[in-house]
Amino acid sequence: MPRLSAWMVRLSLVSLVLGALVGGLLLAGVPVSAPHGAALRQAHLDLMLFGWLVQFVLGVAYWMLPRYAAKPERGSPRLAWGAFALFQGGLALAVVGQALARPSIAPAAGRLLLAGATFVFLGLLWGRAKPFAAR
Amino acid sequence: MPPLSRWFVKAGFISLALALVFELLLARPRGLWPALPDAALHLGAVHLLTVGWLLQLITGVAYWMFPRHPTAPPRGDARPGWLALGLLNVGLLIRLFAESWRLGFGGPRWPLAVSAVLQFAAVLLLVQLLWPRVREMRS
Repeated sequence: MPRLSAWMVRLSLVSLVLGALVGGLLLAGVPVSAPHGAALRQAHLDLMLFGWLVQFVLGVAYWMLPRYAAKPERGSPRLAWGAFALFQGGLALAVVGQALARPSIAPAAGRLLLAGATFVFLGLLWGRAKPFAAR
Repeated sequence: MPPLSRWFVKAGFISLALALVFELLLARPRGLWPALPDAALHLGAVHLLTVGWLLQLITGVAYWMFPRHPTAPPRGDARPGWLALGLLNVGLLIRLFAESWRLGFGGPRWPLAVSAVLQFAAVLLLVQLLWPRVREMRS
């Protein structure tokens, strides 16, 4: 597993724990004010969908999809690490921005970063979705 | 495929099938079984798809395919995985019944709290199972 995939999978597992914690508190009926309840539900969704599921799948795909015959075998590592940093920044902005339950541009900015980073990863993976023998 | 992976994948398949049954119930004609709470069916279907199906399918395949330890046992101690499998599915079942009971018939909240504790414990055990297997390897 390349270093980038290992980091993405580890951080996705951290997101899974945090998302399950928030979801568990909401399910158990821990009393929170109405705006905070809605904000925590959205933070739970972002942690589980982007932080856990999308990040895990992208990390494993970056590891396991067929590699290019020529170096760099998985596409530009600089681009991949840049997208990784954007993804983490976007996730943090979206989750913390929502959990604070105050009007702010942080959640929207976070989602924009998340979408941008995901598009970069999809671009990196697109050419690797090919038969094993193809160059 | 190791036995633990097979059980996770099969439990995931059952959850997917149950989620589809819940979705069918949501699409039932008006007036048929009016006591069934649609909100609980919807939440149940979403939870069956995301936790029951996706989380269990991913865990089963990851336990099977992630880099193995150079020492025995190659996939590490499976006991946390078996415990997680039991806790997650019991927690999920409790949630399905408790949410319908609460939203449809005014049932209490405490079974949902029990479900939350069981599922969170299962997630911690899953992470304990997979974390040591997330290792960098030379390609």
